[in-house]
Amino acid sequence: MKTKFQKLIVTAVLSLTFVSPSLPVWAGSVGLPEVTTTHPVFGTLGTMAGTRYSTDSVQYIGCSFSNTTGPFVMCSATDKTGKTSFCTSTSLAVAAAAKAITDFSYIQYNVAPDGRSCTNLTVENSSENLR
Amino acid sequence: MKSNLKKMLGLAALGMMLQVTTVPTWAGRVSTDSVIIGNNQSSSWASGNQVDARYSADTRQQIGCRAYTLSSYSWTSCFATDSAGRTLVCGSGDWKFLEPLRAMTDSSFISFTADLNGGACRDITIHNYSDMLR
Repeated sequence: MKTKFQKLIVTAVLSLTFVSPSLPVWAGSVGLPEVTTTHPVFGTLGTMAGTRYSTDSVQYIGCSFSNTTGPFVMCSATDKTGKTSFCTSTSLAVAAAAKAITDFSYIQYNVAPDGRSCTNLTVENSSENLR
Repeated sequence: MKSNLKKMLGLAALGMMLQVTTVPTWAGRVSTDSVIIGNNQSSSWASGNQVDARYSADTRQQIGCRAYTLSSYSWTSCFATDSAGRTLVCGSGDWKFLEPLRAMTDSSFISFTADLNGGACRDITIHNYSDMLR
């Protein structure tokens, strides 16, 4: 009886061990693009989560915001090849977008021909961009 | 029986190993920022990442900001304590300092500057970058 019970317990543990990796099957639509700084239309784009959890240790993307002498936004990014882009803006609209950035945002901006001004900043917060 | 048991335990261990190795290995650029407090002749400043402060090895570090608002009044303050226990606080009734707080997330890197006399906030900047995510 004791032997049978032991066998049962061990088999149960063994089954759990093999079964557990297949338990959490997460699906849903996923879109976690890594950083691109040279998109012909969208310029610089990337997701916070896709970038943070990429396989290289080079790329990053994000924005800073302060309001000391009016709104001031600076966005910057580096792709996996080390190519960097950045832009700044004092626009209220760009500031509003920057304030919407979360840990899982999709961020996209274009740099003006002057090489430093942001012509636009798009922030998308979507289920697709969650880690 | 003993042999069977050993075999089963061995298989169980193997199963666990396989389970561990299937966990994805995340990398990506990471910045780890302890809370830093400094000063010069005209101002004091502090900076740090909320997540790194929260999960630092010591029990002292913290950084954050607080917004207190009424319909016609606001008080914004930021505070930081480094690993040595040094503390810096700044505060302001100027509405403009409320705006940066709207940009804060759990992973924000915060930097602020305070007047040496009285601790009025001179600047509050919130930085949200992918490399600051935990």
